[in-house]
Amino acid sequence: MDNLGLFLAILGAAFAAGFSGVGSAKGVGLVGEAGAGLLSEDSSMFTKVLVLQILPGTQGLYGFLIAIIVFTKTGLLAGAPVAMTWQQGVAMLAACLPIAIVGYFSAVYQGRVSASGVSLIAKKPTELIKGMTMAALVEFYAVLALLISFLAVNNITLG
Amino acid sequence: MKNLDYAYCVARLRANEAYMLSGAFMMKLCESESLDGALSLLTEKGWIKEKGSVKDIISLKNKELWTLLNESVPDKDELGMFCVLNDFFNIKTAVKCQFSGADPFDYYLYPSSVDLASLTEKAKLHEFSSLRLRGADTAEKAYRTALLTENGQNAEIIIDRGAIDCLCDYAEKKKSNLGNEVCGFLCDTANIKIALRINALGKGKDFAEEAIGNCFKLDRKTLLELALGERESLYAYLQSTQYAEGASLYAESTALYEKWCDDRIIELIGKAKYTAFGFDPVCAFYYGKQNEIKCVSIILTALQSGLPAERIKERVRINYV
Repeated sequence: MDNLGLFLAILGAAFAAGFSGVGSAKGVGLVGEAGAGLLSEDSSMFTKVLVLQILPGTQGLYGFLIAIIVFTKTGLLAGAPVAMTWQQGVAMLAACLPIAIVGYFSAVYQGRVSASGVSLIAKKPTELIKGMTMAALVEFYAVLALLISFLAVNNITLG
Repeated sequence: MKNLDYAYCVARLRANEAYMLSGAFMMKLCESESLDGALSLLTEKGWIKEKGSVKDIISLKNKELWTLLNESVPDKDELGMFCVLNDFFNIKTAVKCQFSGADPFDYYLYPSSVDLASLTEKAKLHEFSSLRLRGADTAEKAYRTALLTENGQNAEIIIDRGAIDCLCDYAEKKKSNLGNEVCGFLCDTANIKIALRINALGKGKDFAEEAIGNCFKLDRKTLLELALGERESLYAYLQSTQYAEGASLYAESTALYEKWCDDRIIELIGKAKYTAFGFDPVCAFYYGKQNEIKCVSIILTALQSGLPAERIKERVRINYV
């Protein structure tokens, strides 16, 4: 029970990196599938497909960032974990949840919008910007969740 | 299959849609001075690689379409609904050729969900039931009927009925909304045509019972009764259904009715232009492309026969793109 606080903080970091990573993998995978379908007909579209495929990948990065901040704050990265109460651990876990949950779902949905964007550029190659803009709007909510998680993690006082 | 499993397929088909022929191009094709001129236009557009006979071009385009779908669609079983009419037509061909002695390969239609060499072989041995294909029972029944009655028309009716019932099954079971609607529409419009023919020819109840298949949006019992009665009553019933416009056109000419059916399918599949994933865009692409191939076939054949541009334009269907 001594390390319960630390365990909960690590669990939070795992959720942040894990869920948003899985969401991104799903999103990027889906756009990759759609992209392969388009490239099998027109390989000159590779750059445009790549731009759309990158978009759902950012949530994984956000989750990873929050996990690193949690590790730094708890001293895990330096190899000297700080002592934490279970309440601090719960707070850390809760702080990680916005990016874990929103990161997962926004990546999946952004993947769907980006894959639809691939179909859009398949028919109208000049419409890449529109496809990107629609996908980027989904990103907005992941950015908000990242901010909330970042501010919450940073403002939890340990020690 | 989940809708998202179609991501690769839909993107690939959308890329192909970009190269489909537009209505404006079809009109330009109609105005070609000769068949050779039309073929040159198609070559310039990249629709065909080289000139050839109309039959060869259309056959090649159908094969290309089928290959593309087979390469793209994640669940090949889903493609079965596209082969229903061709499969039953091929069964009919195989049965009829047993009596006429003609080579069925001159008449078979592609795509087909059954190996046509096996179908021909089994037809020679009169062993349709050993074929693993839908309609094997229908083929067996049609063959026996043709043999017993020495009347090819009876066999044709049995096979056509089999095709309609099979389409109706698809319409009721299909997971795709568009697949449902298209199969149901094909099934109902075929039944309407049969009912109107029965009425015009004054055929009896037994014939009508055998010929009119299961219906999707129509009431089979009513259709059957009215097909045997007054023509006005049958038209009045059809006017009360969603097929009113088609029925009115049938009264003018069967060619107009056929065109209406094709145009209506294009309207139905138009909804799938705004569907991102799933089988609906596949369904729309198939019927859209089929329609395009059919239009080109009509135009080229008409030009070959020397029909004037205005007459050809009347026959051209609306386009998916």
